[in-house]
Amino acid sequence: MSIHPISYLIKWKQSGSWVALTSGKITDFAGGAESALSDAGLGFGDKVTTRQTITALRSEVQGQPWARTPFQVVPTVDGSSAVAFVGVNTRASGDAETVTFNCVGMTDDLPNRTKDLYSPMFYRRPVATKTTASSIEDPTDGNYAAGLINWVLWQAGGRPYEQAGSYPTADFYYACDQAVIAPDWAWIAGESGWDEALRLARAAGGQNHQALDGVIRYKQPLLLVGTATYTYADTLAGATDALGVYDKDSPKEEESTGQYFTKIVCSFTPRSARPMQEVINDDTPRKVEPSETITIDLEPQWPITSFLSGATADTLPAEHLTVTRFDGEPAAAFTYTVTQYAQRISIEFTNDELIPVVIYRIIVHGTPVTTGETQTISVGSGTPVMTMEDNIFVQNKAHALQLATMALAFYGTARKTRTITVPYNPARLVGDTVGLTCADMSLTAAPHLVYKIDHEAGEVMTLAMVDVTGIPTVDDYYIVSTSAQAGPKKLAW
Amino acid sequence: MPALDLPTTFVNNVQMPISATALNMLRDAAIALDGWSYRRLAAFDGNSNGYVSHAAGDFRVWWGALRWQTGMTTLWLDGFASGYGSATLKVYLDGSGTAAATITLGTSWSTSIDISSGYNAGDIILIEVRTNGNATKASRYLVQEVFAEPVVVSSSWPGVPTFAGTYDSGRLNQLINACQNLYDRIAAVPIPPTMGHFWVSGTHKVETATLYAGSVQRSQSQDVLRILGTSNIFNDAEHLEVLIDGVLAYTGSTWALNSNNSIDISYTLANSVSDRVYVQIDEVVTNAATNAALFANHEMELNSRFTLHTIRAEAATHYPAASPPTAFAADTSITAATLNSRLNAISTMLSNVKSRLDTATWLWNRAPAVRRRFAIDDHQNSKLALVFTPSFQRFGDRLIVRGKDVSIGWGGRVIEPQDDAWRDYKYHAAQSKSVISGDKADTAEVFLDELDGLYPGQYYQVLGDVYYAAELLS
Repeated sequence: MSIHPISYLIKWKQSGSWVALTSGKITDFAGGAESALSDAGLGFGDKVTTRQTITALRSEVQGQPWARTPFQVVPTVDGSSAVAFVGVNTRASGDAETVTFNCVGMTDDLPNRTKDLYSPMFYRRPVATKTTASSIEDPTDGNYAAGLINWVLWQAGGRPYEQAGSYPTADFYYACDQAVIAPDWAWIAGESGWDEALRLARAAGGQNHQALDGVIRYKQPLLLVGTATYTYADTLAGATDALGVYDKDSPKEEESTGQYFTKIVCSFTPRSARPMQEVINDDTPRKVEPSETITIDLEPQWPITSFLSGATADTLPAEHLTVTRFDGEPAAAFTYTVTQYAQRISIEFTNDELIPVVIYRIIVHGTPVTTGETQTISVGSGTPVMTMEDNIFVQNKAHALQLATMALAFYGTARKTRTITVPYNPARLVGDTVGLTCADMSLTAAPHLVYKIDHEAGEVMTLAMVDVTGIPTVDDYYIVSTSAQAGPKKLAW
Repeated sequence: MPALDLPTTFVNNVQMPISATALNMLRDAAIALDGWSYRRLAAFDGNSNGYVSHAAGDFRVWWGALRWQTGMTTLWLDGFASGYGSATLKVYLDGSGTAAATITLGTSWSTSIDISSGYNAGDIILIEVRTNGNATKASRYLVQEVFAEPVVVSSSWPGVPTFAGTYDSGRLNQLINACQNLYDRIAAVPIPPTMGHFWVSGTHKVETATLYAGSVQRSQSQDVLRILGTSNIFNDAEHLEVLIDGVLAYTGSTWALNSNNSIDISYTLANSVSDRVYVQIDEVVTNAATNAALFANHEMELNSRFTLHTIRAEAATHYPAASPPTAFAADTSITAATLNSRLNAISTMLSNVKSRLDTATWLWNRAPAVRRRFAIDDHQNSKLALVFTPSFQRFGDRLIVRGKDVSIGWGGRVIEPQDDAWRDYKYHAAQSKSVISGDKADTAEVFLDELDGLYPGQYYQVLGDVYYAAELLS
């Protein structure tokens, strides 16, 4: 294997700014990325996790906060430079000389960042919407129309990658494709927002990636596999460049049937909006001292699309809020604001009286979205059979059929996975589509999807990839476009 | 079932594949809209208490209600009168003691009342028509039609696109918006019930007794008058007659004593499309010997009983249906020419539906009022509670009802045992659900899917003191 010069820049974030660590004071680093959940990297809802260890001289890092400090690694190999890792330190250990930071990518940190999220109700909105330089991603914008995955990522501190210039200090960046399926109703109510984002991806097909560059991406199914622009081979003549020449002895092949099915079963539970009705009747007494402000969070049994407001949009009808003084007379001086989420009503109440008051009853009328009877569909035939998870976001037959048919197109062929060892190249990411040439395996620039990368100190890396020959890609289909399309092409599911 | 399932908005240039499911939703929507653009319409029950019998003096000719919707400006009433002398009719709204309109009578009459303000969407307007100065029992008054117009929706018609190889969001979303606008227009027009007659009492004498008087509109050229029900005969010989605009149009076969019979009358309407005709259903007794003997022997006389649960205009068999394009298949190659052709066929279907709605203003620009039970006072209103009830054959998903102590009954009528032979025909529904409890008038919105076993196409009644009841598509 030839020799390739490498240098690297490692930054950490201190006081809100990225600061470079002195290169000579970094003694070691290693890392990798891997798509989880499925064994071939093609599973809907798969996520990609990244990890990195960075060892530095204690003198370089002493005196600064370590806990959950963001790190960034930018290697340069053969003059090619790329961000190879973005994440946070979760554990630091060391001795008198050095400190080793064990970092994980943002996907590992997202469950912490998205706890106790309550979203508004999203109706028939694609689970993710395309992020662009001008897409509206801030949920407080009145014209907000992004998908729920975008919403979760924003709440977690992410900002759109395409608008990075506007958010230079963002904790991380995200980039979303336009999802091909929109659930009837989608919301988040206190669960882990990240888990729900993965569930949304499983409901619509596609994956939530974090590649080594740190950008969290939602990829829609037909864009999971792209056109290979880089080819690996055992000869320089067959490879794109010298970094594409793999060790002749390194190719390994495996065919697993863990993600091979000829029949897909999918269930769905219909949901419907119901008429305005009482959804909360809370008679818990709450004493509020003079000038005190309390927040009352109430959760209806079902998510609601709207609530019956009072004189203004953020109040309740007067008869729905019972507030009295100790002598039983109605309290006259108080203010409150109602904030509605899909499955939470939050009331911020301030007692403006000079004496304590008691909130005796809160009634909320709203339009709940209730469930119908769970039903099941299947597509394909024979065995093996895949029963998709019960997914709260799959709510009608058309959606279930779309999802199951799409899954069959992806999982209806047994696929081989292959690994090769190549010189480290930070430009290669999990999720890349690459060509693989291997005469022994009768492969000539055969398209493969990279689903795992391991590297040691930026010297060599092992790529695990799945053969995606024949897998559906967006080029096979008519798309919504302002350009004329000649066809013949296919319609998607 | 009648909800319109439309695809999510299409977005340009974001690598969004065109989904066969989405296009089939549009195709299915076009098929459904084509079917919904024809509508059977219940007859309008128009006569006064006891039909033609009333005292000399003023009385209630008609009462009912309609549901106000944003954009409605005018309440229309029309009808006929004879032998009225110098009497007029007065129209009272919402229980007011001051008439909203005074109608100077002629053989035919009509009036309009401005209702453009003073109401909020969903308000139920109570309407009562009373005589003023009626001096004779021989006078006759018929309210032929009560409705409000226009029916306005918030969406607008976007036109339909032509496809020639470019499948952009502008064109595709135009199809979605066209479907939505057509659906909004169709769904905005409430579906009134037949004022059902359940074991209504006929006569025990040799005479002609009117069972029903009202009007029916020929909304579409395919419409016939359909009358469905049953009879329980206690005279020795009798039959039904149907008069259209006062002319005998149908004579039923003779029924014998103690026979129970199905009524299924279909009469081809010959009036112009959009016009209404006066419908009168008479019981004609030609031999009442047994009843007369019972009466002479100091036993009771028995009137024959009639159930007329459906009186409406509808297609003799079915309304025409447009031929839809071939359904779209996923993951199958299709040429642009074929795709263009199928999408353009959807455009054509939608355009034709729009033309149909635009033309039939008598159907799609009016919200019909609904007749309240015949009664001259509360006592009679209560007494006839089971006899005259709004009757639906479920078509929509939602029922709007206003009244007191209202329940929905379906799944068959169960006759309760009687202590004597008067045959009051007290009954209850096999399945029922209370929707308005107590003695306070209220308005309820009932999602019919929530009533177990009440499937689309099934008959049901709205029981109680019903001021207004009408289905909505969804």
